[in-house]
Amino acid sequence: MTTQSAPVSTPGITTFMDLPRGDIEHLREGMVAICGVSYDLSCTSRIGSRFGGRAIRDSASYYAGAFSRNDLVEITTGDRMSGARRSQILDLGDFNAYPLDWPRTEKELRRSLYEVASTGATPVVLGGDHFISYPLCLGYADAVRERSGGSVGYIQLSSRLDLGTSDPVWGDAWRGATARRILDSGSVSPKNMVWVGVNGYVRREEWDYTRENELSVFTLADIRQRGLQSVVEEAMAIAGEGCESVYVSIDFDVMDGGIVAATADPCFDGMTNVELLKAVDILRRKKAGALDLVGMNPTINMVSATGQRLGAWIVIRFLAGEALAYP
Amino acid sequence: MQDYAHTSAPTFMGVPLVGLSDVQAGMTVISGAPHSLRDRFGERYGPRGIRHHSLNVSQKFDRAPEGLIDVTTGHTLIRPDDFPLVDVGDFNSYPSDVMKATEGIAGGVSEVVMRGGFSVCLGGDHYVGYPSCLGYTRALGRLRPNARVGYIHIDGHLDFADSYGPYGKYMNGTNARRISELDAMEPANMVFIGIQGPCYLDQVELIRRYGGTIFTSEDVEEMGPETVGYRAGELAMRGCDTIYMSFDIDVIDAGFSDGTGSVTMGAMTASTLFRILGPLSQFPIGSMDLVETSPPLDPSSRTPRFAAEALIKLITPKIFEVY
Repeated sequence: MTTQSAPVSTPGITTFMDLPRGDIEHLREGMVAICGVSYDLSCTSRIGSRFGGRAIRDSASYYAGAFSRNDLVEITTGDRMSGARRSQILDLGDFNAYPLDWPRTEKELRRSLYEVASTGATPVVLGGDHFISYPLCLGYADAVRERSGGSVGYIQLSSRLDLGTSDPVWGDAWRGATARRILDSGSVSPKNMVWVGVNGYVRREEWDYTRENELSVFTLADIRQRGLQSVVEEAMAIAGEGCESVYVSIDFDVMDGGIVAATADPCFDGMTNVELLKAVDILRRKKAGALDLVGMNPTINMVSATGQRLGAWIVIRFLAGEALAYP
Repeated sequence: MQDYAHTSAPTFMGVPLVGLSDVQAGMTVISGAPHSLRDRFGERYGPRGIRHHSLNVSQKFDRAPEGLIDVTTGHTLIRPDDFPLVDVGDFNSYPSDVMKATEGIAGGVSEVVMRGGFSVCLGGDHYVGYPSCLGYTRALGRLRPNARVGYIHIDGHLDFADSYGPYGKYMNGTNARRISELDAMEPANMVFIGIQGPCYLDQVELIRRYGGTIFTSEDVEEMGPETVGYRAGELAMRGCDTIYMSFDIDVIDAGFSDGTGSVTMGAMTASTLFRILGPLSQFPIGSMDLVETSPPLDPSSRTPRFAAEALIKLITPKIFEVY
């Protein structure tokens, strides 16, 4: 580990922001666990998000120099930030995933996140494609139920609804069914399931399903009409109503493809960097207790490598209220 | 006159490549300082990239002797026969000897200014801003000994560290701080535009203690880019005779400009910046730099192309006949 305030390079193993590597037994209440899931085979188009976790960690080392100091300010929001408590963040490495065995992967991810969240630490998971959010959210709900007796809400920032049932080719292990699996599991009440940033083409069947089941969907058009803050605040209020905590899933395809290329299926009326970061600020101030970042495919922006830098900065902004807050 | 944008020697806008001794009063003089140190390399290719992409604009003028209309402003721009723009090529830069590079760049800029030229130094990383401003103030000290200089820093970052880890005091995170220490510089007239993301609190507080002003990317959004442009120019000129402008391309969000080392997430858009530059170009800027463009990081080339177009917008009142 380097002790210089601005590392010349980043020697040693790649962890998020060069933070210490740790294991579940090192986690305590109030800490943050960075975890990875290198699995992308439920993605139906350009695979490569299996490299997302590693790329985001690598890019985050850019911020290691800044957060080796204690006197930072996020200048656009005025939030004081600090690296003083960064030892509260541990990088656990990647959970076990089995590329050719989804049922086993599903069990393993659910159990792993349950174990992490059971310690009282905040899980931040770097995917992987969006389907991993399903077992991860269930594992988080298991832990919250056991610790507090309460339930969790689920909010996904994605351009899609992911309310399909199964795919003729992919079968049940299909990212287009992520939110539907969470609903069907009964782990999250339909009244606490919220979608933000939906845009482009959505299947009629899925759209009707949201109406029939009174699910809360906020499209990109809603954001443009009502303003981001109003939409995200309402979305979080719905997701968190009567719940102990909210699981937040950010799929990179919620971003405008003109701004972030590094995702399997870019859309072209998505969020800007400014909007997504503002949304993250609102989420962390409310009841967001777990975060995953999925669908970031670094192989698509090999040269500019900006998708992973955005991923790194999202995580840091998410932690700005706690582990990276001014003490 | 070159036929197409991709032929002939890529000087800025295809103007003649001249020696420093050919610089005459009133000319706008493009130079390069291919100096870069840190992070994602490639800024040393910036001057060449910006020159190359400026040809896409100049070829439009080659074909339009009656001039072009900037439809966003409604102004007609005519390139005069005695086009007051030259390119002196790159100044000597010594990658392994930062003080020698500093003197190489400062000496070149100083000579341009002594001869009455408006110096535009293309970086290179943002460290180039310091030697470029150093050269400007040195020449100014001889031409107008009591002149005071204001400063406009367009950037995603403050660059106001006194020293930066193992890199020390002379690198692309200390440039604005070194500039604040120049004798002719008025620290209260230092204006920072487009700052975003994590900043060191001691730098923010020091700038404010000096009486300087920070317009964050969020401030630009709230106040409006034109207002920020005018306000920044006024603040920089208070009691001063001239302005030095340092322009870092990473003021633009990485979604629009990824060809730069310290990419910014959540910064302003290119069109927003254009709207700031219009009002700013009306102020008496005496010398400037344009830094941190890294063509190798952006195969799409939109970053150097944007840099070239932004620079042309800024120097429009100096080089074109505007109606």
